[in-house]
Amino acid sequence: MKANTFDCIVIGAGHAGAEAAHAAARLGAKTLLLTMSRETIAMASCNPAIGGLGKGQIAREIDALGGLMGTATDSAGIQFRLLNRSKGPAVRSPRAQIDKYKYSEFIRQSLEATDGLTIIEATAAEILTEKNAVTGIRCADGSVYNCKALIITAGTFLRGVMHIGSEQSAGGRLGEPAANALSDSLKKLGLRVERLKTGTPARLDAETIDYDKTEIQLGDDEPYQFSFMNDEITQEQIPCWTTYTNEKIHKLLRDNLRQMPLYSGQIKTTGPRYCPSIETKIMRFADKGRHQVFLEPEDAQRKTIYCNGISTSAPRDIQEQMLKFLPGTENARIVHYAYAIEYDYCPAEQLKISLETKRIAGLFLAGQVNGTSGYEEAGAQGLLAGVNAARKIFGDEPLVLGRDQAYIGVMIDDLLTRPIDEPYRMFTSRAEYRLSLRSDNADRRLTPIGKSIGLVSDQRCRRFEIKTAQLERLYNYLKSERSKGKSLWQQLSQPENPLAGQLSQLPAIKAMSLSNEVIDAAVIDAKYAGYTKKQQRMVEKFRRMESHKLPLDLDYNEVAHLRAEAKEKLSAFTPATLGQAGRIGGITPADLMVIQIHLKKKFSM
Amino acid sequence: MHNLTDTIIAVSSSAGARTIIRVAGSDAFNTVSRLLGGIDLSKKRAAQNVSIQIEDDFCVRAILYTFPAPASYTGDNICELHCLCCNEAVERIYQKLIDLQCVPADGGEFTYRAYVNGKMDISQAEAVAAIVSGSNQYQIAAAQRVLSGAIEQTVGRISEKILTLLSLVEAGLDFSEEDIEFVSQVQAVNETEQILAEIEKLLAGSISFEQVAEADSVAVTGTPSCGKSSLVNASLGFERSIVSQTDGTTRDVLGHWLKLKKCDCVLFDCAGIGQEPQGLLEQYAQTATIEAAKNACFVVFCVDVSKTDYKNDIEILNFMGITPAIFVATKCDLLRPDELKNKLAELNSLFKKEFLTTSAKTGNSIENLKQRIEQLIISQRTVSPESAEKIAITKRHQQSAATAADNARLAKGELQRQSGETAAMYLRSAAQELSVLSSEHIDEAILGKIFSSFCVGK
Repeated sequence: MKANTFDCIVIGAGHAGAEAAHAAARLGAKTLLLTMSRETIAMASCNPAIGGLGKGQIAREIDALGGLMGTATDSAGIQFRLLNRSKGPAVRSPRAQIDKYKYSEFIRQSLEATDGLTIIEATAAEILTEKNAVTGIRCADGSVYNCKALIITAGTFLRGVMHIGSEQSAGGRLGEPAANALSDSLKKLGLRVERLKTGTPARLDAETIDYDKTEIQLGDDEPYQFSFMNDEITQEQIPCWTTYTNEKIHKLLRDNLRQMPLYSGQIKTTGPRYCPSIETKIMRFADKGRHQVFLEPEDAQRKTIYCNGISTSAPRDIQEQMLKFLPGTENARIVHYAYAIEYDYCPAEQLKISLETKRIAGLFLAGQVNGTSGYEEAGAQGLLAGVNAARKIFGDEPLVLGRDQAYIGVMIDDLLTRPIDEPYRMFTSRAEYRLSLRSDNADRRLTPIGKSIGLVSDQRCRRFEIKTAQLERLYNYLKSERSKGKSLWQQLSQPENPLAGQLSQLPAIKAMSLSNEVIDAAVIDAKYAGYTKKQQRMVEKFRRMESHKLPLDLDYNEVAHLRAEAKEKLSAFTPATLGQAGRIGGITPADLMVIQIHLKKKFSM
Repeated sequence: MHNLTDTIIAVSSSAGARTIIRVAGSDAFNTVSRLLGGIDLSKKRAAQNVSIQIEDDFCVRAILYTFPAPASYTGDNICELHCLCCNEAVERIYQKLIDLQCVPADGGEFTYRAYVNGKMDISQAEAVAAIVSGSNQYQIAAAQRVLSGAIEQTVGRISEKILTLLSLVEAGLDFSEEDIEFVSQVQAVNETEQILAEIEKLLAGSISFEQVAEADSVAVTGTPSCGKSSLVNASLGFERSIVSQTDGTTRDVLGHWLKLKKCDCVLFDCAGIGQEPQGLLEQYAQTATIEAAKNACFVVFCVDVSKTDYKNDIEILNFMGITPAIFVATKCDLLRPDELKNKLAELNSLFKKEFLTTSAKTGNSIENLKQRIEQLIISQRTVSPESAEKIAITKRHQQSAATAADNARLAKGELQRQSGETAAMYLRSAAQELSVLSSEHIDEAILGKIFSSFCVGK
């Protein structure tokens, strides 16, 4: 094999690209990771935090499959919190503030230590194809690399334009150039490209903030680790701080609304509703007197602070004035200003369920280029794209995770079946089988799958086997041991049964010397056992519909009696299964029946 | 979407003394065997007498026919229980089979299976598809007219309430980091109680689209202000359509559920047909009237007996081109007995028909009219394939609303325990159950009806 020939090339080394390159190489594909800069591998471009509601579950899933995000977070975390601790375990999600430099460093070192993975600094310019199949990539400096599979994880770099007030500058991230040629190359290949908008708040010099005027927010006393490979978090935890906007700030922004690109017409694309800029908040919720702002350290040395909650497209002078009015930041030095960014993405209905494009064989897309937001969403897609690129090269069927198996499955299914008008972010409410898709059982759901495809390490396998054996012992005991006419398991299944809190104190259980993780798992399983049983019918129906495959080349215009709206929608989305078809907006059960009849007719002839 | 692995059940409408309970699916023999106390059904037998234990001291007799796969109508194992017992006992047997994991069949599900299992040819199935795909908008429109959108509105309103509450509960889970209380526990519980009350009200007082679409329909027609609406109201026993002195008050076809002693029907109160429709609205109303009349099982034609001139009535009768089955003389209370006698003689000679005398004001002869309607319905009724699965269809929808109510009740319990994630699960199920009834899925309901009508020879 020539030096410039690889099985798989990954373009972009953000959270998607890092997981993609790692996964592909782990599976045995000779992989090249192209990045503009080694220094910014897996950089937290926005919020210096991993996890959160819905996202924490994804991070745990990435870890359970053998990805990098979980161990990197545990290593680089500077404050850990388990969100929704007071609520049910199914909606509890880990979240951690990270030292973004340490995080990047950890991922870079992991990638460098991965066999079969080469990292090169270069800017990709043109995707090379032959007969609608990927053959390689040409870089801006003219160098050419050949490959069988190409994964684009370009984040916000495709034709990125940053806005600070009326100032506009091309770039994928502050101080880094945009990737315009690559975007053109995707268009030339016939992919549909559209625009999205997002934004990031100002970063402040941590030493110039008056913390006495803010409230302190500490991490958990017993930090909950992200990775199933770790038993505990031992590093020192660093506090965050909260402060509130006030009427002075709101008036300032209202008075200067014309200078905000979001309101002046300079930015025409939509931003995310779940992450509104401060000007959007005060306009949309005019009656709210104050908005919370979190001051989050970006690194363990506490050099810079991320102002979570006041992202804006306002001009520099307005940003400065706003901070002067914000309690605690009156004299703060701005390290870099908030900006809004517009970028290209490829609507995901152009993808197969493996994340390979329908149009170009061997071309995979993952992360923000598919219209998502967030490191976890990106990382998960990267991991799947890496796995599926490698599997394609080796002639294996793609790895597909169902909505009943993982948040990752929910996300990919959502992306493939519904158009978006804002960057897609995970919420726990998107998962209809949420009670089964928990952060505590991500390993039990996914590690066996990771093992079977060869992604997880032997070390992880062994840990998992030990845990599984312990759980089995505990289960057997709980189901056979009885008191008050009920098995301990049945007692645990009752709402608010005190046994849950006392379990670890039972002599028989003490004697088993189980990990807390195992005892917690049994308690949670028992709590939800009755509920998940009720969902079983739904799950079975879901699986049946998913098992009914639809040909990708099915010409819906030929389907007799199919409604025009259904023809249009189905032609645009070309669903892979009957279940997917049913989840496309506006498709009725009757449409599905018509398709089934058509297929029966076609294939019986 | 039909699930081919389910064991499905349907009850044919009782025609005569015999009611047939039909069970189909790979597990049909096992299930029925369990119902019958474990008798062996594996040996092929044409028919056998069985007894079904309903309670400890109460059992009923039935004839059991077994049709093993693949030679049966659907290609599945099929059991037919021909019951010679009262409806209540049939109801109990049905419930027992539901408890044994049988699923109420959707309308046409037997036929759908027949198709999927290669028991029916593609042209039949395609004809079904044509109607399914919504090309037959008229049926949907007609069904909506019949219901005046009332059920859809009610269900839509309840669904909306559930979704609103659900979104608040979900927000409390997904945005718990915000300093916002989306819904207090007390509010959430109250809201759930209201939802529950509304579903229960719906269960108690409404009729579903299938009932109306499959029920025998009777159209009441006549000239404007001849007293049709008053007559319909008197028959129903309460005020339903707006009645006024102005000509043409009934601007559309209104359908009402009329409960009779031995059967039910839908009474269409049709807009009066004037000579020259004025404006689009009136034109539309007249078209709807004529369509409804043509589609009805039979027509009741009303003539205001107190008038002096019946020219209009004769013209309209000719214009409609329909032969009414029942002729009614309305407003008889406005005439003295001797006047009435003369007028009736005049009508008889003009229309060559016997007239039934009625008065909505005094309630006179309303019972007679209902009896005549009932007799006609029963005499016209045959055991048609359309009605073969009628009870099951109704049950399915009833069950949906009942399940929605169950889920709302469970959600309330979870909310009281402040368990948002499990409350959300039940609220979601409640909303999904109700969507079965709503117009969004009306396509599916029609599909069911169509497949029913292909139960040829069954």
